[in-house]
Amino acid sequence: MSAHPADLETARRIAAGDEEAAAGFFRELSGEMFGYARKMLGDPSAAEDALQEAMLGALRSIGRYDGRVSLRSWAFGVLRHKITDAHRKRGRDFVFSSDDPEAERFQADGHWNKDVTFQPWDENAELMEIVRRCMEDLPHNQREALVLRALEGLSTREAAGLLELSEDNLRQVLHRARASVRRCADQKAGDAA
Amino acid sequence: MSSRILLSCRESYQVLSDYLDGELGAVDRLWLRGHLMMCGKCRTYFEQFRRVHQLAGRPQPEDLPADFEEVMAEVLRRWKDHDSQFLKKPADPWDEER
Ligand SMILES: [Zn+2]
Repeated sequence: MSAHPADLETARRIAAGDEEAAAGFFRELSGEMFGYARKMLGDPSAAEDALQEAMLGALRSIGRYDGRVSLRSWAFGVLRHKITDAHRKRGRDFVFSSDDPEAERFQADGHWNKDVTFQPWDENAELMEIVRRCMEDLPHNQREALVLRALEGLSTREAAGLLELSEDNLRQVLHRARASVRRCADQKAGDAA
Repeated sequence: MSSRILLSCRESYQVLSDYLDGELGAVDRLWLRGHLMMCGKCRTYFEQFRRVHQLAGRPQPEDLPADFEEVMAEVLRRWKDHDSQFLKKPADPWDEER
């Protein structure tokens, strides 16, 4: 029994050539798929290409959708592969990291090191822009996890499935990614003040 | 962790993401809040981490292709063309065009 009967019905209609259903599918998902591609690839025109290829790939192969995950998760899975291809074509290296950015900053007893201090950020700092720039420096897997997790309504379980990680693993990647962004933002917010 | 009365700064740090994602149990949430009440460094850290949690990866207004309708029309046209050629023979989404 499918966990997503409505999605399965949509997929069946599209597979049968229903243009209205295909357009609806495109409209519903293309905004967040483009946003995801843009954050992963940087360049809007590369993101648009990836979106096109992913949507086309998804529409053409939608007959294989089996309703085990939501249609949205499934479509993001297709997009994720297109983005990997686009990275390879541009000769980009995939940097993966699982280091804890704060690991060295604690004493043996678990307190912060004596020389570690935190100053509250300037209220007026352009924090959204700072965070966006800091995310560009993240390793591929950490950025991907953060962007997927920020999609409304996508559970940790769905995101982990998409990223082919265990839920525990994803939670760790997310934590380290956020800790890295905080540290980077702390420097940039400090520079701005 | 729940058997201890006090969390260390490191332990507090380690559960921040789970806390903000709503994936920390009730008892651990209390321990964390207790530590944050007593520890100024962790409180400032938490506040910054919370902002990052809120903002990182969040959809932006520029997250829409400028020529959205054209992109859609192009995709649908190519899909229809393909469809009439290869009806009933779904391609593999990962492998096509390789
Ligand atoms: Zn502390």
